[in-house]
Amino acid sequence: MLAVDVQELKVRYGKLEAVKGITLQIPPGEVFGFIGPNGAGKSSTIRVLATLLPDFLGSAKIMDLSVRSQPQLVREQIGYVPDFFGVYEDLTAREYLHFFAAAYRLPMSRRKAVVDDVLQLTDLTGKIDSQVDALSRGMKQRLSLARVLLHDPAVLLLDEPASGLDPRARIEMRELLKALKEMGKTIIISSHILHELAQLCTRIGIIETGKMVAQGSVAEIYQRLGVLKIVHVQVANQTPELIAKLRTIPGVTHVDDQVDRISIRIEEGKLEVEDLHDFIHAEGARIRMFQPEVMDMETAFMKLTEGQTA
Amino acid sequence: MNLLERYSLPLLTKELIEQANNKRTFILRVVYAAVLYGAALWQYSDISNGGEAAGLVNLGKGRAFFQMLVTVQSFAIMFLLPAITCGALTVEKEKDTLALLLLTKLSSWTIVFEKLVSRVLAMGTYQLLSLPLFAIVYGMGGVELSGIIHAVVSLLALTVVVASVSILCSTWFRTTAEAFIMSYVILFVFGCSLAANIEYTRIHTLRMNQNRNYVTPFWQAFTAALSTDTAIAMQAFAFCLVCMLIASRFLFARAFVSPRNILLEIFQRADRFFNDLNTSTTGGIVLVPDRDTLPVFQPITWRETRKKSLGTFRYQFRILMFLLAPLVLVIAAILSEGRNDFTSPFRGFPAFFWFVSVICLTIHSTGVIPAERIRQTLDVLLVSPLTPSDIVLEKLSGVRRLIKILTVPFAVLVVFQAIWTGYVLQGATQTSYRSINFWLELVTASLVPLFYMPIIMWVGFQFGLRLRNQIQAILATFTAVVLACIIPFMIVPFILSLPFGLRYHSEISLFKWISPLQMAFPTTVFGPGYKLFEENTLLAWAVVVVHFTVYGTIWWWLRRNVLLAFSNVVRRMEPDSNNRLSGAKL
Ligand SMILES: Nc1ncnc2c1ncn2[C@@H]1O[C@H](COP(=O)(O)OP(=O)(O)OP(=O)(O)O)[C@@H](O)[C@H]1O
Ligand SMILES: [Mg+2]
Repeated sequence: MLAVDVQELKVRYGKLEAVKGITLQIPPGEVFGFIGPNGAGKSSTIRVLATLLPDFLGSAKIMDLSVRSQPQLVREQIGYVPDFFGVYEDLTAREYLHFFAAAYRLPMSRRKAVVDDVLQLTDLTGKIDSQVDALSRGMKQRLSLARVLLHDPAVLLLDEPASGLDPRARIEMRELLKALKEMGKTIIISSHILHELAQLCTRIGIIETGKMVAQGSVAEIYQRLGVLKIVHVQVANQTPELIAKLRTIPGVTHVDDQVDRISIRIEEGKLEVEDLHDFIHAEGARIRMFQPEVMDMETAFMKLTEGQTA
Repeated sequence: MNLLERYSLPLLTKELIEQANNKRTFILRVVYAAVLYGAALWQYSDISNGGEAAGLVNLGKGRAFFQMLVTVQSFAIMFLLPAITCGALTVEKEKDTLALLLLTKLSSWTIVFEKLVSRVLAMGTYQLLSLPLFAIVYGMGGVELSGIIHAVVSLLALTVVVASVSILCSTWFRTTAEAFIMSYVILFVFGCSLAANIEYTRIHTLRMNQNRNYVTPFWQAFTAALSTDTAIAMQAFAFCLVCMLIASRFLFARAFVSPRNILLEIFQRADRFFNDLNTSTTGGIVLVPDRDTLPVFQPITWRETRKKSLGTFRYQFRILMFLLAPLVLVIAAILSEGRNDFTSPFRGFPAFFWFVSVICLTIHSTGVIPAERIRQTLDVLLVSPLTPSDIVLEKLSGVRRLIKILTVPFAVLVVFQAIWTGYVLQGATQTSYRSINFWLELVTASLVPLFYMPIIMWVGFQFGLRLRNQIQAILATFTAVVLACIIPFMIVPFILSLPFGLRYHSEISLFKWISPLQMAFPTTVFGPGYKLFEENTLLAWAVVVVHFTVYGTIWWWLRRNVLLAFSNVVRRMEPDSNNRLSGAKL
C-alpha cells in the first residue's frame, strides 16, 4: 500500500495550467521533500491532497482512499498545515486544541490526555493558557503542528512549515519533524530551504513550472545529475607546486587558492574523495583540514530549474 | 518642489482611481439611480392620477415631489455613506497596509482628510444623479428656489457630518464592523437628540407665544439664524474640522491596536460593574452563566457563542435591553395614564426594532465567513471531517441566537397590543381601528419577525460567502433588503398600471403586499390597501397566506442553496461534487 499515490495530476486556474501532470508515489514512513521555485505548483499539489481543490484531473489517493470520491475519509487520514495559516485570535492554546479535538470528534475521555501529549511533543506546555495570537511565529507554527497531530493522522501535508522562522526555531522544527518521522508518519513537506530538506527527507522531488523534474533519494538525484563536489582543504605546508599538481589530477575541474583554504572541485564518479586525500598525503603535505562539502543542493537546484520560474 | 507637486493629493487620487475601477461603485450608483427615479416615478404616477387635467392640476404640486426627493436623499446619506466610509481606514488596518501608509511622508492630517474627501466626493456623485429631478421639481412649481438651495445645502451638510463621524470611527476602531456599528449608534443618538431639540424649541416657542408678554424676539431670531443656509454650512464645516482634528490626532495611536474588541471591553467593564452590583445586592445570583468551558460536541457553535464578541450572550442580552427598555417605559406610561388613543405611542417601535435588527443581523451574518477569510483560518476548518452543513449551521449559531433574542421585543409588542386591543379597548371605543380584523393583525405581526429575520440572515451569509469582503456583503444585503421593500411598491404597480394609462386600480395595489415593508408596517405606511381589507376579510387572509408562502419559499430556497453551494464556493472537495473539469474528461 502506498501512503500517497498521485497519478498524472493536473490543476488549472482558468487558462493557467499550474500543475501539468505530476506522478508521485510515496510509501508509508517516508519523508518526501517537495522543492521548487515560487509558483512551481507545490502548494497547488498539496491542496489537492488536502481535499481543498476540487477541480483537478488525474487521480490522487491517500492511504488507498480516493481524494475525489472519499474526501471525508481522506480528511481523517491527513494533517494539513497550509502555507499561510491564521489562528483564531480569540482562543487560548488549550481552547484552540480542544476546538479541533472536538472538530475531529475525538472521544471526550481521551481529549485531555491527547492535548497534553501533543503540547508536550511540540514543547508548548508552558504556553497552554496563552492567547493564541500572542504567540510568536515559531510557536504558532508548532501549535499548528500540534493541531494536526491531534487525530493521529497517517499522512502529514506541510506547506512550507519553516518559512519565516529564525535559525533556532528552524532547528527546533526540524527536530520535531524528525520525531514525527520516527513515529512512522508519512510526511510531505514543501520548502525553498534546500539543505534543510536534504537532512530530513528520505526522498526529494523537484518541481518546476508544474512538472516534476527529478525525483528520488537525495543520493540518487545527485548521481543522476553528476553534480560537482567541492572539497575544502587546509595544509600546513602549502606550496605553489602542490596547487599546480592538484590541477593536473584527472577529475579535478577547478582549484581555487583561497586565503585560508584550497577549494577543489571534483567530478563525481571520476575521482573519489578518498583518492584525493591519498594523493595530497602522498605529496607530503600535512593535512590540517579535509572537508568535502556535504550536499551542494543549491547547485543542484539551480542546475535543475535553470533559473526559470512560472 | 513646485506648487502643483506640493498639493497633488496623492492619496485622494489613488482612492478616486480605485473607486472608479471598482465594479461595486458602478453597481451601487445604478441601484441608487434606480431607487431614486423609481421613487420619483411612483410619486409622479400618484400625482398624475388626476386624469385629463393632470397637467394643469399638477402645477404647484412640486412640493410633495420635492419632499420625497429630499427624504430619499437623506436616507441614502444616512445609510449609504457610513457603509462607504467606515472601511476607509479599518480596511487598511485589517489588511495591514496602514503601516505602509503611515511610513510615507503623508501626515496623518493629510491621510484622514484625503480619505474623507474621497468619500464625500463619492457621495456627491450620487447626489448629482438627482439634479435633473430637482430641475423637474422646480419646473412643476410650488417650491421656491431658496427652498431648493436650502435643501441642497442641508443635504451637503448632512453628508459632511455623516462622513466625518464615520471617518472618526474608522480611525478609532480596529475592524470595519465595529466602526460601522458605532457610526450608526452615534448618528442615531445624534438624530434623536436633534429631534428632541427641535421638538423642545417648538414647544418652547409655543409657550412663549401663548404668554404674550414673554415673547422674546431674540430667541426666535436665534433659532432662525441657526437654520440659515450659511449657518448650516458653517456648523457642518466646523464639526467636520473638529472630527478631522481628533481623527488625525488619534490615527497613529489607534493604528496598531490589537484586534481585541473595543465593544467587548466596554461590555466587560460594564459587566464587572453589574457583577459587583449583583454580588452586593443579591449575593451573586447568576441567571445565565457565560462560563468558560471547553467545547464538547459542536466546536464551532461553542466558539461562535462563547468566544466571538458579537455572539456572546452578554452582548446580545444588552441589545435586548437596549430595545426593550424604551418599550417598557412607554407601556408603563400608557398603563398609568390609561389612554385610549393607543396606536400612536407604538407607531415608532416596529420601525425602531427593525432598524436595529436589520443592522445587527446584517453585520453579524455577513461577517461569519469573511472573518475566517481575513485571518486565513478557513482552510484549516475545511480539512476537518465536519460536513458542510455542520460548518454552515454551526457558524450561524451565534446569529440564530441573536434572532431568538431579537424576537423578544417584537413578541412583547404583539402580546401587549393584542391584550390592549382585544380586551381593554374592546368596549371602550368604536374607533375605526376596531374595524380592522384583530386576528389578522395579530397573525401578521407575529409571523413577520419569524420569517424575515432568518431570511436576512441567509441573505447576509450568502453575500459574505460569495463577495470579496464584509463591507461589500453588508452593502449588498442592505440593497437586497431595500429592493425587496420597494420593488413591489413602485415598480411593479407602475408597470402593471401602464396598460391602463397610469390609472391607479385598487386591485393593482394588492401587489404592494408582496413587499415586506407593507406587511411589517400595515398601518403606518400607505393605507389604500386596507380599504380592500375592510370590505373583504377573506381576501385579506389570502393576501397574508400568499405573502408568507412566498417568503417561506424564499427562506427555504436560500437555506438549501447555501448548504448545497457552500463547498463549491469555498473550493472544498465533496464526494458528490461532480466538478466540470473531471466530469468532462473522466
Ligand atoms: N487561487 C489561484 N488562482 C489563480 N492562480 C493561482 C491560484 N493559486 C495559485 N495560482 C497559480 O498557480 C501557480 C502555482 O502556484 P502554487 O501556489 O501552487 O505555487 P508554489 O509552488 O506553492 O509557489 P510558492 O513557492 O510561491 O508558494 C502560480 O503560477 C500561481 O500564480
Ligand atoms: Mg506555496
